[in-house]
Amino acid sequence: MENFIETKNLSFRYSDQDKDLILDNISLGIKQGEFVCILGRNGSGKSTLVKTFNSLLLPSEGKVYVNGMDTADEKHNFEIHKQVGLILQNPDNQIVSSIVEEDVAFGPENLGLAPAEIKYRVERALNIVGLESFSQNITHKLSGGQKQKLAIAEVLAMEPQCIILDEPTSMLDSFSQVEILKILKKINKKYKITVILVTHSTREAMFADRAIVMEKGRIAVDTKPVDVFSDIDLLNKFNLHIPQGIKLLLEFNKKGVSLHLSDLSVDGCVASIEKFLEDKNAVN
Amino acid sequence: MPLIEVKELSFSYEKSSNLKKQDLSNINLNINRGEIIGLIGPSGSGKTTLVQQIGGLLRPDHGTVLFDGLDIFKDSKVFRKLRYKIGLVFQNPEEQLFSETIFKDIAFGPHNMGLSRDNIAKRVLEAINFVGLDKSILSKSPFEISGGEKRRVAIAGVIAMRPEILILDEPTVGLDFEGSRSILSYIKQYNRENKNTLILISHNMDDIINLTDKVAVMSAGEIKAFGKTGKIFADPVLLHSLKIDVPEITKIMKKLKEKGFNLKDSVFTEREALQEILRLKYTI
Repeated sequence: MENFIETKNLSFRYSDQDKDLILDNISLGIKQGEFVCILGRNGSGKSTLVKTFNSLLLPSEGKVYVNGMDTADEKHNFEIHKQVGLILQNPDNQIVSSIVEEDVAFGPENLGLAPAEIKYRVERALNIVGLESFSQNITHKLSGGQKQKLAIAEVLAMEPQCIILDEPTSMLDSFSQVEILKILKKINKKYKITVILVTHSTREAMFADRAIVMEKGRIAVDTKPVDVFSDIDLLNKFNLHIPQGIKLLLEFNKKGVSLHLSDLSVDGCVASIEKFLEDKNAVN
Repeated sequence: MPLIEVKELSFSYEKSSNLKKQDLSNINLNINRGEIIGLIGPSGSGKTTLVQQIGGLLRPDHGTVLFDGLDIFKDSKVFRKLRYKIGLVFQNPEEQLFSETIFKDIAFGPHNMGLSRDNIAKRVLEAINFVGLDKSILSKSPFEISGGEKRRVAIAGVIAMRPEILILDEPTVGLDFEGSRSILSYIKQYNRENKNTLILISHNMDDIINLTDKVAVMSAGEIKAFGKTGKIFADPVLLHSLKIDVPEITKIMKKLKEKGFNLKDSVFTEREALQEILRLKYTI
């Protein structure tokens, strides 16, 4: 499959006087339909990297191609923004109208689409995020989780090929966090939209198919999420949060009781412990 | 006498221009000197609105806030005396850094307090030390430093005023593991030194359980429960009815219990969980 996003020797610094590169010679391909999470400590370059993916930031050196289009070429700007939607931490910054339906219609209206097409896109987008019964609601009265769903609907109404989210759930409670991640999974699997998620949450990263860990502007690790999260040395090295469930399984292993580390979700941890408790042959 | 007394406080946004947040109804809350209070509840439940009243930024419609017995809304003279004693760190405070150097930014509060030049410099150094940053950063622009550093600078700006009560609204959102941990440890230290009082708003239940003495649970603009942290989190009926999130380890233990294993389910740490599971395995 072809790369939807491709960087070639991408380097970035904010000004020529800066001695440190924020992004340091990154060559990376992300295929159409992938669900990629990007992890790494603060200042490692995660947010800067994804901002180069929709031409918000242009490379200081090297190239970024979106669906074959060079982001540095201004004539592609409009098309790139249409194909790659960006969602940030705080949905309040993204919501433009006071009524849910109007807010989602804002983008398609600006594309100059026919009213029937706009209506179709708005309904479809609200449906996907589960806000269909809120179309007439007042946007500022929505809860934090609903606002972030609305922000996703806004982007979906543009019918993008790729959605980038920069810590979209960090301001939400954990119930809303899970809901948002399930929506992203659905968007990715059912509608084949490429999802790129910047996150500090190990739990969220497990929803992805591929985990990229950044360190000092470079890509330090590029593998499956489960390979990152079952490797305690790696987690410590890159300052990643270790979920309690995984810590518990690792504690068992330290005691010489070897538990399965293949499924690291909460239910996976429960299953591993259940198996251990029911295993009559285990010796102390 | 409690340091902070919130008395029958009600507030409605409807008549003001800002319609975005949750109204408050009949809030009563006593906070003693030296206590660390956690304020939890779903996004949009009124947590931020409440701390803005305690910080004197929003005037209640009914009821009031007493600081050390003084009504902070009674007249502006009283408030002027008290305003530096109540330090409020907003959500994403780094967005409010504005001076050309970090020194000037942190000095802004002490300068407004009318302190001498020497005293201001002393306070700035003390504050930057406190949040674990090197003093070489003081000559830099806020735009040159990382997100985690900005957050610490913003907190230092409030700490430089040496408030008796420090209120932090989601201080670790968007920070990596190490960044969150170090900020929480500075906060704890601020509490230990001189018995400073703290209010912490957070969605992270691990942090709330590890750090706070008492918890107030908010929902739809009301305080639904207030009590010792250990007690609130050990009350399954309360947790369930108020939809309070629990640490991952507690979830795992609950699920195991539901599967019929005779385990204690109010367990908050991996060590406790490990002991509890090994106890069940090897004593029966």
